[in-house]
Amino acid sequence: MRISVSIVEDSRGTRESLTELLDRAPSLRFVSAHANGEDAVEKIPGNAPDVVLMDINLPKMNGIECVHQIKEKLPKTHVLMLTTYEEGDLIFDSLRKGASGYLLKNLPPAELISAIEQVHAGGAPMSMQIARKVVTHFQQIKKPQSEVDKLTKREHEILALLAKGFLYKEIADQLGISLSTVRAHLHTVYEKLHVQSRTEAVVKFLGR
Amino acid sequence: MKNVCRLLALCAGVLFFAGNAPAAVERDTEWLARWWQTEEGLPDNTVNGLAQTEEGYLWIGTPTGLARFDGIRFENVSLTNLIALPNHGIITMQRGRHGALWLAMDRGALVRLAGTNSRAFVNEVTNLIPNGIAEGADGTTLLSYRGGLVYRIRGDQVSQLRTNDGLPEGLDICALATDGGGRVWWAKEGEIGIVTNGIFRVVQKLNPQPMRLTAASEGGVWACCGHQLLKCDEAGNVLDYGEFHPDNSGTVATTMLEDKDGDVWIGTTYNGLYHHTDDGFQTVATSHGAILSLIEDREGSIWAGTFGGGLNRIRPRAITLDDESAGLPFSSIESICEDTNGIVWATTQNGVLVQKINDHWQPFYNPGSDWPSNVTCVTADPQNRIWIGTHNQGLFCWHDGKFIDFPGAESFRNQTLHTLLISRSGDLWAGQETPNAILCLHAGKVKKFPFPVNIRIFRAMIEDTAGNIWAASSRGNLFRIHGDDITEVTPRKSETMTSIRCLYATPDGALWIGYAGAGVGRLKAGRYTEIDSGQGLFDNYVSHIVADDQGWLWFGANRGLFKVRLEDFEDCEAGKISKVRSIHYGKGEGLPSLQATFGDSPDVLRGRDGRLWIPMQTALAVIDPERIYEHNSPPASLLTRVLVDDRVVAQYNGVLPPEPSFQAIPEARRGATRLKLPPDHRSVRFEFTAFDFSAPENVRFRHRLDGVESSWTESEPNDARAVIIQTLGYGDYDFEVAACNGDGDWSQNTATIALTVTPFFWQTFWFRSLVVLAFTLSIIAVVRYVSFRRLRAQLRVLEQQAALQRERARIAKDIHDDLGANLTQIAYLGELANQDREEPKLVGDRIRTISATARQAVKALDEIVWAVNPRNDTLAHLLDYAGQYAVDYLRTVGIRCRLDFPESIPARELSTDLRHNLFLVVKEALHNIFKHANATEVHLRVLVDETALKIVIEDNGCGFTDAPDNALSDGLRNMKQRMAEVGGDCTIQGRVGSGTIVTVRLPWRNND
Repeated sequence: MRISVSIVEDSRGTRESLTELLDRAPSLRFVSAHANGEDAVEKIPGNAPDVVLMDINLPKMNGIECVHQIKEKLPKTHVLMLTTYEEGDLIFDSLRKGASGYLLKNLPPAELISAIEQVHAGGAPMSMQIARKVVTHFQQIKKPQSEVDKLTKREHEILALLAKGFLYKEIADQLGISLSTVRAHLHTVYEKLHVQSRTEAVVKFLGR
Repeated sequence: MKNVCRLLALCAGVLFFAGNAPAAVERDTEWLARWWQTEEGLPDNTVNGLAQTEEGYLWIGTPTGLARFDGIRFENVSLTNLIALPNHGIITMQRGRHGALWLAMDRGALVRLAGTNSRAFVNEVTNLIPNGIAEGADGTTLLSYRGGLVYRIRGDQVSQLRTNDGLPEGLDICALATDGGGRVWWAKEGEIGIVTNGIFRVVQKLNPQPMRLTAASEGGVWACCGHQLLKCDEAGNVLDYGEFHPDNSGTVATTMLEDKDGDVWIGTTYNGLYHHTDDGFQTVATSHGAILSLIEDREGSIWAGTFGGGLNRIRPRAITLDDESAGLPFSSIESICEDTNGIVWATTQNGVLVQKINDHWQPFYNPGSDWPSNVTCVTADPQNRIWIGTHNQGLFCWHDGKFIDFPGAESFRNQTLHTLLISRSGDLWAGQETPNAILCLHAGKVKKFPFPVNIRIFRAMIEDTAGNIWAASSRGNLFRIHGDDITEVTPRKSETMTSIRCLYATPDGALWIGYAGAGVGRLKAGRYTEIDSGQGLFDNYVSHIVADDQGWLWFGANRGLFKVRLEDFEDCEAGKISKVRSIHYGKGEGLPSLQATFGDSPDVLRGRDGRLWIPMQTALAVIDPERIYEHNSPPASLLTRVLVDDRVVAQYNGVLPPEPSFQAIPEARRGATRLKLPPDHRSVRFEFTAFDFSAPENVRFRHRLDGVESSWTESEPNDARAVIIQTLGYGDYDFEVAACNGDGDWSQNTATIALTVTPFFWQTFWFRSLVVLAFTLSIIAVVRYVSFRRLRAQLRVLEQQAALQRERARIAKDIHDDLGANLTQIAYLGELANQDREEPKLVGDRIRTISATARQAVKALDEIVWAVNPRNDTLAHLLDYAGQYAVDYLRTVGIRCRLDFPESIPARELSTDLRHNLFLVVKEALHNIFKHANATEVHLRVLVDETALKIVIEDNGCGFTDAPDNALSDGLRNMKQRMAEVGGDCTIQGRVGSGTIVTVRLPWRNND
């Protein structure tokens, strides 16, 4: 039985040529192609493909979020990231959200098809550089937490807004909290960052 | 009362009297009167009233007004604010029992001076001439007038006492006096009695004669009835003390006084002052024969005010002078001694032996033929033998009423002797002239010690406490004789010899040498010192030295009599003081100019009664040190005024009503008053005084300013009783002043005033604190500012870094998205072509697609590179590029393009970000036109002005409705979002059927 594959790719040219490539592969059965994440999330569950090739850089919903939503609906479907990005964050975020493999677009088409077969067979294919990054990640000695990492999510949000130059009032409005709450959070932020002023806090935040 | 509380100013002109010379000297009586008249500052030579107030001032009431006197200066006291001018003359004055001063004024008015309780009574009383005032213990004051009227004042209530109160009728003045028990006695029309609760009670009836009263210390009153002195007690017992007999029978008593010895003084209208003792009446000479007022001051001096002769001070003479009037045949005495019977023997300069018997000098009369006619010196031994040295006639001995022979008399025969001395062992020592020798008569044998002629005459011999006999010559040689040893110990041998005039030995073992011109030498325990006028000695020509029992050494000198404390010499030698204090007795003691005699010895005498006998050229001075020391404790000092920059700020008021604008200085209590001085004062003047009416000119002051100096500064003699201190710095001070009497005893009662000089505002604590605070705050502010600036700079760097990173991320994304997508596609197309290699037609299609994609990639790369290239960072470049793009793009899709650009484009720099976004917006708009508008023409307009850049893209396509399809709305949202990111905006106006207008607007930011 051929492996059913859907692709999510915003670049039309790439999408079309990739569709054609996959369609031709004897072990694969091309199911659908989607230009954006929303479309994919809407339509893929109906097709329930075995494998989804997922670009990361999509117009609105990004590929990682898309993986998450698809995996929620189709836990058995393997999602392979296919992207030009090789940043660690994206790799780990993708894997965390349920991607079964991470491939770079410079992968020769034959190997791409082979990777689809691997994942369907229960493997976790990765481009060489990506695999190395994953290994390196686990070999790294755990870095000491920076002061900024000690902040809670909300504190982090507030500080980020502050760094963008928003006033307390604006921050309060944006986050839907009161002015005094903003102040209280900032007070904690100052203490955690060991700083005395807003500017210092922002400097620390930006310089992290 | 309002009137009373007003200023009673001291008259501005304080008058000083010049020098200390009394106006006249009355010689040779027991009493010495000294007087002050207008030329010494007395306001008027008629002194109607006298009183001494608690602190010591002597108040003088005259027809001119009121003055107060401190012994040195008279201060006129203006009563202007208390009473009208016609009443200013004072007729009589009385110090009340509770310290008030009562003044009976011209035209009948009465004034009570009692500080804040002062007031004048004018309309309540008659306008007749007042005569007497008496205040009783019951708080009432009686005031009598000529014409017999009597008023009674109780508090502020005045009532007239009349015949139904018991007051006898008649025009005779009612005499008044308060006795020691506070009862008021009266006398009128021959009746004498006591006033009780306003009722005149008669105690005794006498002859109706003019009467005067004064309290008697032993009870009752003294009354002068006519010329008769009587004493009347409460029971009506009258004692007669005799009568005085004035030259003028019309003389009547005007005033009476009992002194502290119980003797009575009576002032009369024409016959001066009478002094009554147990011996009867005696006149005491004063400056004028009409006496109007009498008081005794606290030192025991009697003060008498006269009618035109000024103010007299009367006190006993301490130094009397014996001259021809006392029986001396010649006023200059050479040698003097006292025999065991207390008879004083002396030799006159003209060779007469005299003795004082019953207070009278008489020449020694001898009926025998061998009477020595030219006597030089005389001394007496304990056996009451009088030894008499003569000129050329040897030595005589008088004993028991006759001249007696004595063993060894032949050794003295026809010799001239100048000095005699009886030693404590009973030997007689004599100094002989021509040939010079000292002879000692011991147990009937004469020892003779010859001396060369060049020592000149032996003038003085003395025995010290160790039993050494000392002899001094007129050449200046000094010899010590002990047993048979004679040693010359002339202290001034190395210098020009100075003639020695006298020798004296004090019980402390010291030998004193009086020099002619070199002061005094002192030889004690082998140590010799000299004191002369440079060290405070009054005179350098010292002829007599004698000690009294009070620790003083008295000197007879060329310039008169003076004394120095023995301990002053000790202190001066020890360096404790630089000068000894000499106290001279001269005119102030009623003495004429005196010069001491010198020549033969014994030259002075300290009598067994303690009196000192010092021979002077014109008289023999007899000093009674006891009298000099009477009532002479050091006076308490009083601060009278404080002036800051010549303006009075505080003054002592005493009985005077306080001046509201001055602070009051209390009498002497430490810390009672604190004066506040402004910080910008230039000088502070302290005026003070002390009351020593016996010898005011000898009073000295010393002062100190605690906070500046701890030691005393002694005022120069004869100064104005004031100290001026220049500007004082901010802080607390105590000004203290003390006085000493003529004997140099400093009073422990000092007058003190506390001063606080307020600080300038910059010296205050709060100001200094403020400065420190301001300084600290400014430092903090600067530090904060600097660190803030540093943080801001850091923040800017970080922002720039963040912007750079964002930019790089964007470029990376562009490359990935645009270029990456194209290249990926090419890769896939290549693979597809490879798979289709068997079908050339398909391969051809693939290759065409690949080349088209490659061209797209090149174009995308071009756009990315264009945006990144810094050479393209101006507005002109952007517009060029966008315009070129529009033309190229629209041509490829077959749409006409019309460009409308400004002729000159301002030189503005655009950041990469800005250029990129603007270009993308334009590109998107063109892309939308091609894809959705179905237009045939596009009109691209660019408008640039000072405030903004505006790009208008207009097409003639189909336009769109309110709800464009998804792809279009995404594109439009994208455009709006991009413009918002760079601070601009984008409006899209779709007109259905007549095209779309996209307006991109970017306002210039200041730094763009």
